[in-house]
Amino acid sequence: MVENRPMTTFISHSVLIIGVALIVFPIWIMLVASSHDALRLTQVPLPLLPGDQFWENIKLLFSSKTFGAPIHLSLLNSLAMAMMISLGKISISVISAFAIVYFKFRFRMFFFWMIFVTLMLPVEVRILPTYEVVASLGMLDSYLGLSVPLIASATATFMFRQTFLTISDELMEASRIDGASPMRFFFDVVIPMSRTNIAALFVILFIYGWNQYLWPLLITTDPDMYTVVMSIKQMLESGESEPMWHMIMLTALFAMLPPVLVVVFMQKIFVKGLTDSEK
Amino acid sequence: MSTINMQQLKKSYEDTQVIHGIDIDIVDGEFIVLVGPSGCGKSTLLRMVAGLESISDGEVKIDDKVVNKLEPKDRGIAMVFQNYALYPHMTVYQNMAYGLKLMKLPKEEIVQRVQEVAELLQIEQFLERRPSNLSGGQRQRVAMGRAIVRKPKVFLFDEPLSNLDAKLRVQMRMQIKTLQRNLGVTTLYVTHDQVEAMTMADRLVVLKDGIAAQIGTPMEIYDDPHNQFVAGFIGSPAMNFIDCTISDEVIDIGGQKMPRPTDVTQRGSVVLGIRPEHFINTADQPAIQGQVDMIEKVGASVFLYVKCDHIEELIVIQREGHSQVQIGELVPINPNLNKLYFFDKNTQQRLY
Ligand SMILES: Nc1ncnc2c1ncn2[C@@H]1O[C@H](COP(=O)(O)OP(=O)(O)O)[C@@H](O)[C@H]1O
Ligand SMILES: [Mg+2]
Repeated sequence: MVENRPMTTFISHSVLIIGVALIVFPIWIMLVASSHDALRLTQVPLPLLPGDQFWENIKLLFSSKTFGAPIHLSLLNSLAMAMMISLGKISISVISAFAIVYFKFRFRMFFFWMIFVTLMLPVEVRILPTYEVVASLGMLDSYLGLSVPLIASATATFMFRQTFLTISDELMEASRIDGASPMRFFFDVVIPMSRTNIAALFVILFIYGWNQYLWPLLITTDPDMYTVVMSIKQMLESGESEPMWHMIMLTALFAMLPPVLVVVFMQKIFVKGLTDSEK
Repeated sequence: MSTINMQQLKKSYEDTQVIHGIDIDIVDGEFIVLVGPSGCGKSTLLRMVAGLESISDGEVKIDDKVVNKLEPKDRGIAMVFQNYALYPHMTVYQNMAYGLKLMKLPKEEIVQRVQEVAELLQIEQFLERRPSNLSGGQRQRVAMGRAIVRKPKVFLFDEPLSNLDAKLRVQMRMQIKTLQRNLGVTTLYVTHDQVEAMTMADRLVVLKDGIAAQIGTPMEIYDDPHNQFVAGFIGSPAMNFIDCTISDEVIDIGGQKMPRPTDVTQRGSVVLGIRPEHFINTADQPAIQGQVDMIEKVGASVFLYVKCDHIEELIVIQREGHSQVQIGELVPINPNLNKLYFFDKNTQQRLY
């Protein structure tokens, strides 16, 4: 349907422009705020154009310990948690989907539904018992404690199941005749053929892991284990003093960078995977 | 040197039995075609030999060794699938080398073997391509190549040509046959296409509902079908089947009479079978007449679909290509009396 009415074009463009502005404006404010000094941000009107304090602020942020954990440490914590969650989720769900699709074992459907049921149990719902378990395993204030309870993923398992169902049985049989064991088939055929799905899922899960807030808040008490998302919140509540808006905005900027980088970098792999047209 | 023996081979899924006790002995280097309508169990039987399907009862022997419990890779077989089943993420070279790599052959030998087979099949120039960048015929050859590099004792084909266009199919048919003869590898080949079956097979196994309806060379089966199913399945267009009654003097077809060949000893109500190519085109003393209902020209010959009184089905008659018969014309129906087949009405077994 190709319509060429100026009014429609005008309206649809306005909607799009407003939408973009809604998203871009806060980011712009963040950039602007992170380039002024603390004093300027307490005066009205708030600046709408970037200042000249950007590098100074970066130096200050990375050198000070006044905001809980040093920023590079909390960035590292976030990165470790996000990577462990996304890679953990992918490896576990890819292998369980493989089991469900390619093996006929007793209670196969039972396990399938068990996985399904966990969809209804995100960490927020089971937070107290999970805390109890993690605490008694001595995993408080550790990377394992941060990531393991979030790793099981029904969604990813289902997604891989769907992908595997599109791989023809003949391929499995051909590889059996070629002498491949099930695990060889898994690594030599199934995984390479699911590359693009894995990449897509990695992006989604990385961002999911990176943005975790409630769970890290609950199980970390040592400031050295704080994630960057938590740090922002901590900085907002830093006692009696005024919030340091320039530092907070700069931290937020750094907190946004890794997900952006992941999306930009993985997008290339998507497109490559899509244009290669393998299936 | 490889033989295959199947003894009382049976297969059941839960409570439905799909293969009902098949016995076939295949000698070394033979090209056996399993043919039958879709759903008759051809693929199942082939896959039981391959080891992709478990065997419910009976035995499969390759080279006199029972292989019932062996993994496919240990049976010395190679298989070509209907949709080729090439690994889409590997190049043609990798596709062909994959099995050899898993056999842990030395690298030089793998390279050499793949190169040799690629030359044999004229696919050297595609070795670095992915299957998605090949045409159907080329993929087909790669799939064959992957089977040949394994140097198997037995080739198994499951309808390998059914995804190709008609012309390519005829070419590949000949290529496969030639290749098989040169390599001398015992072959089991599944198809539902009776022309493919007739042209390629040393011996045919006509399957019906999981039973071997007849086993024999193509000409044996064409000349001497054991039952109505085989007679109707082999030959194109199919044999005409007409209900008739044989008395002492005549064969009575819906009130019209035909002389009884003296050596037909059966009497009573039977099914008469006549192949379209077994009618004589003479004007004198037509046994029966019929009106042409439809004409099918295929160049070298013409098939007349003729409607006769009191006979339900149209009778198909082959004439030479330039026949000027028109629709609606009355034509004589003169079967070659030496080429009549009679089948029992109930058991469908051949009577004469
Ligand atoms: N996994 C299965 N479970 C139940 N029935 C099956 C299964 N596979 C095949 N069949 C049945 O076995 C019969 C033979 O199938 P198949 O060997 O594929 O026939 P074809 O001669 O067309 O290759 C069919 O009736 C089919 O429905
Ligand atoms: Mg089949």
